[in-house]
This record gives sequence, structure tokens and C-alpha cells, in this order.
Amino acid sequence: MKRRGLITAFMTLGIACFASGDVVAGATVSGTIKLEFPGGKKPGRKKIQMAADPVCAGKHTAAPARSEVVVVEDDGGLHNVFVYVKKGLEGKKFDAPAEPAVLDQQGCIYVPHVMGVRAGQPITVLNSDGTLHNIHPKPQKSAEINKAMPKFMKKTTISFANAEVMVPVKCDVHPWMQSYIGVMDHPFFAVSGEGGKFEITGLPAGTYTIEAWHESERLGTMTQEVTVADGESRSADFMFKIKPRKKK
Amino acid sequence: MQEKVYGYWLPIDISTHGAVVDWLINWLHVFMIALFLGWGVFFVYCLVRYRRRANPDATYDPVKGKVAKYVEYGVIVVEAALLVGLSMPLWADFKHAFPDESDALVVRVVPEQFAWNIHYSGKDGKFGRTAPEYVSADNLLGLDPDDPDGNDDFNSINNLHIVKDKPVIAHISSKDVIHSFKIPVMRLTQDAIPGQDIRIWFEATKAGTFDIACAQLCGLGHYRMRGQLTVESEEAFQTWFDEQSGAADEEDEFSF
Repeated sequence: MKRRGLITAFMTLGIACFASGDVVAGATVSGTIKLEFPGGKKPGRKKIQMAADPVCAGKHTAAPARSEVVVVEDDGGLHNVFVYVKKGLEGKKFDAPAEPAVLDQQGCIYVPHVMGVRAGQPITVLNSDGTLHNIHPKPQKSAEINKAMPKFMKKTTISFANAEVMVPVKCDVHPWMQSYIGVMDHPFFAVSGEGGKFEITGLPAGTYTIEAWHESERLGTMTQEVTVADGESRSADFMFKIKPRKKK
Repeated sequence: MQEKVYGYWLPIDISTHGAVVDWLINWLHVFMIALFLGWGVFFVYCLVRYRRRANPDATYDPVKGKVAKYVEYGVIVVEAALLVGLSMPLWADFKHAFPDESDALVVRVVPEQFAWNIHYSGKDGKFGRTAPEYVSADNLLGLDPDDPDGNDDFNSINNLHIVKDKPVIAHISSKDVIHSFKIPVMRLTQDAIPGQDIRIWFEATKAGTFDIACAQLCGLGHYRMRGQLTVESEEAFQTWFDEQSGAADEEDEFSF
């Protein structure tokens, strides 16, 4: 194990030295993320009771709001998996974009549930509900943020200084509200959406460790190593299994 | 329409044990006002009597006299009367004369920053096992998914429903920091301490909706940690309870 780690480190170092400098047509890594159903049955999503805040409850009169912890399609396509390049970009610098990412509070649910941003990139936080929210991300490597957003405050801006996978975000008013933000120091990340599909584009040629992260401890993270040449497209599929619960 | 809850003095009292609490609070105020006035008069007297111009040298001898002695005895008697006559019987009744759990509505109150999780046992009347490792955004109480007793349990966030004229036993705990469960109209305040299960009981005598407040500064959002107490008839409560319990007990739901 140790030796393999060392080899990988040398390889990535070599690639980093080799690839820095020239910008050429990037490679693409794409794939599908699926979940193996427990007992062959698609897991249902729990209802969220929002009676604590009548404004929230009023936004879900047609159908009850449901948990977003595991959002899975009939064929197993798994949403809200954060896929990113974990290793292989060491020593490279990428400027953070100035245009903000957007996190909305809509129907007392965070939209999107999982997102990726760049370290230092502004994040516009919207309050579309007309009720009091309190956004409270708890990063380990950046300064903690704790901002109340009264119903008249439609917008605020936050950002994280340092890269971190993942920053959990909570609302201090509505305890069921939860989201996760992946803060990256490079632009090579994606979140699985429709059909469990994701795509990372513009990668420089090289060998990378791609990690797929899911918020549930019982799904956890999975990694794959992918080598791409310039302009090449590679696929990396992930099949998550539900692990037995850790008994403490 | 509901009568006015808060006025210039104590809010209305809708609990069975509240009258004694109010009596205690009122008498405490009467005695404290008497003490305050007494001390105030004595203070003014001293200002004049022992003014510097007339008394250039300080005196270090204690005052000896019957009046001082009797006043001190008087204070001791009053304090003993408050403690032994009013507080102790009330406390004994409140802390030790619990109603039987089978005659009462039993709930668990597990506050967190900044909301009240009210855990009901559901139709089976049994609370599911809870543990911190199961806590997540869609399992705020940390119910053990493998415990069948917990299947129909439900969490009524910030909403405590109880039945009029039926005792309630609440197990108070906390998920994070020290909170304090306070229902002003119920004359009830109990600290919620993490790792502890503190039992209290109360009984409402009037239907309506009232405030639940957090009475212990617990963080930035302390001021808005507000819940609602609904006191209703047995039928209305049962309808609400069955609805909530049924919604919680759904077949295809999967706990991660």
C-alpha cells in the first residue's frame, strides 16, 4: 500500500511538472452514478414535517416535502453525488471565477442540495420563502458563517477561503434543512443529476484520482483512477452499495 | 376568542399546580417589597444620622439594640415560612407525586439549537430507541431504524399538542447545549441538559394555543426558539395524533 502511494505521488508530481504551462484542448471524464437497491427495492424518501413553520408548510400543500438524503431514480441513477478530482492536480493554480454561485432557500429546502464552488468564489444565498432563515455553514478549514436572513432579506453573499470536501450547511431555524457545499481549488468537479449522470470537462492530460462523495455514511465515498490524454473522453461509472450501519 | 394571555402582572394560569406557584410569587413580592422599604428607610436614616459633618470619626463598634435583633429574627421567620410553608410542599408535589404513566400523555422533549423536537410514541405507545449516531437531517431525534417501536414515532417540531384535563409527563433532554423548557401559562420551567433525562409533569385546565419559550440563553438564535402549545379536547388530539403517527409509519421509507 505504502509503495503504491509513493508511486502515485511520484507519478502525479511528474505529470504536474510536465503538464504545467501550456493550455490545450481539455479531456472529459463523464459517467453514471447508480445505487444498488437494498433487497431489490427502491428506497423511499422520508416525508419532512414542516408544521413548525406555517410558511414552509404552505409551500408543500400539493405534495409533502421529502428528504433529499438519497434521491434515486427507478433505474438506480443516483442524484446529489459530488464528483471531483481528488488527486493529480497538485501544484497547479486556477483562478477562481468572480461570478457567484447561487444557493436558494425555496420551500424551506436548500436548492441545490449539493453543489460545488471554488475557494474564494462568492456564493449568492437567496431567500425565496418570505420567512426567517438562518444560513449556518460549518466548514473546518475556513471561517464559520452564521447569518440570519429575515423574511425581507432576499439575498446575501458568503464565501469560503479554503478548499474542503464537504462543508455542511444547516438552517438554524428549520432543523430539517441541510445541504452540502464542496469547496474546490480547481474547476474539475460536478454533481450528479438526471439519470445519475455527471461530466467533468476541460481536464489537462494526466492521471487523476476521481472521488465520488455521497452525504450518507452508509454510501460513503468511492474512488477511481483515470488517465486521459488531451481532447480524450473517458468514462468513470460508480455503483454505490448500502453498507451496514456502523454500530457504536 | 381567547382571553388576553399577558397583562401587567403574571400571565394567565392554565395549570393545576399554577395557583400555588402564583401564591408563592405574590407573597414573595409582598415580603420583598416590605424588606426593600425597610432597608430603604434605614438607608436614608443612616445618611442623615451618620453624616460626616456631625461624625468626623468612624465608629467600628457593632450596633447593639433590640430592634436590630428583632428585625433579623423577623427576616428569618419570613424566609422560613416561604421555604417550608410554600416552596417545599409545592416542590414535593411537583417532583415526587407523579401521575401514573398509563393515565398520562408521555412525550419526550429534545431541544436543539434552535428548535423544539417533541417526540411522540405513536399509536403503539412505545418510544423507539434513540442514539446520537442515528441523528441526521431527516432523523432529527436519532431514532434507531432497526427498532420496530420507533416506526410510528413522530417528531412534532415546535408543536406540543396536549389534552385538556389530562396530565402530561415530559422527559426533558437536549441534543446540544443547555436549553430551558418554559411554558409561562403553565408556570413551568425546566432546564434541558444534554445527557440527562429529567421528568416533569403538568396538567392544563384550559384549551387554546400558548407560547413555549426557551428560558436559557443557548446561542445566537435563542430569542426565536419559540414553540407552540396546543391544549385541545381528547377527540381533536386523537385526530391529530393518528394523522401524524400514520404519516410517520410508511412502508417504503428507508432510513440511511
